[in-house]
Amino acid sequence: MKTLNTNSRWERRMSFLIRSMNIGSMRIRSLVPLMALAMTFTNFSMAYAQIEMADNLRSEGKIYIVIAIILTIMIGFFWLLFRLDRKTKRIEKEFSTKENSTKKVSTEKNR
Amino acid sequence: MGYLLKSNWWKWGCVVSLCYTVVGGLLLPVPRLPILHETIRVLHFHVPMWFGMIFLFTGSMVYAIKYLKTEEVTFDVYSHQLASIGLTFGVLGIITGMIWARFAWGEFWSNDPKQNAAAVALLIYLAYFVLRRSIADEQPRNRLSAVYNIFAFFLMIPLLFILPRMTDSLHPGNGGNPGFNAYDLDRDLRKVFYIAVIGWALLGYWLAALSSRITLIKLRLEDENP
Repeated sequence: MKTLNTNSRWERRMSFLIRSMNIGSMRIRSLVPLMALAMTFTNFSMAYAQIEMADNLRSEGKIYIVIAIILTIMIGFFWLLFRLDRKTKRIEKEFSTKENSTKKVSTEKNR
Repeated sequence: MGYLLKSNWWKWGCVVSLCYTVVGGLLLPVPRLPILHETIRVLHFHVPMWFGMIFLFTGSMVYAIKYLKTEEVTFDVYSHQLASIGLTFGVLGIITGMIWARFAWGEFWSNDPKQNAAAVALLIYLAYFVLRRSIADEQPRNRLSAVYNIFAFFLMIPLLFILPRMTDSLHPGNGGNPGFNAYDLDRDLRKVFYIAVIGWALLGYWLAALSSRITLIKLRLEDENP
């Protein structure tokens, strides 16, 4: 372990870690920057958790009320759309039957 | 479009995917990012407006080409109605974007390149409707507006996708800002986003199909008693 430079704090910490793991090879030294990276990532994830989100709304279950309301409104609009669809279909059908009958009348007149 | 007018199953697809969008979009976990916070969920509602608009305008352009090829009035009706629903989607997209920008950027309109380009693209399409209404004769109106429609579509593409990316824009995904690579590649967001795009686009086609049918009935009425 003499090769490890124990100047900085985290390097000391690392060397302790390596010693405790009882694998004092040169290979482990190449892992040190990787471990440092992992540490910065844990710091990052700590900051990540501090970003404000609507966690309370979820834990209190109130978000479900919002979803229920939005879904109700959407279902209402979908119902309207389907009804409009049916209405137009009825008018289209009326048209086609009317057209057919007028065609028949006109052909009869031609005869 | 002809098939969409006759079939019904895709409407149920629209209902299911939009219900899933609301539930999943509000409930599923999202990445915690500064400035954005919960507004990242806007991705499932604001962005599909633009995607839907592009799908509708693409359909409109295709039917404009078909009209020019065949001179069939039905194709002109499809093209016109798709464009009008597409414009509605675009206006909703710009309004939702402004509301979001008020809280993320501090102002409703900050003359951001993305905002300006989107506004120009919408104005170009608005001119399509002005053009249509300014010509009384049916055939030149349909033909001119079909040509203009194709022109407008190919102007919209660089305005929305290329120009804002070439300058500094605050908009996510533009000017070096993270967009699809940072938020969209997130697995949780992807689970909802793609289905949201499909659902909203189908809703647009549903509305366009309905208004086309009504317009076709109106045309037939005018034919019968001019």
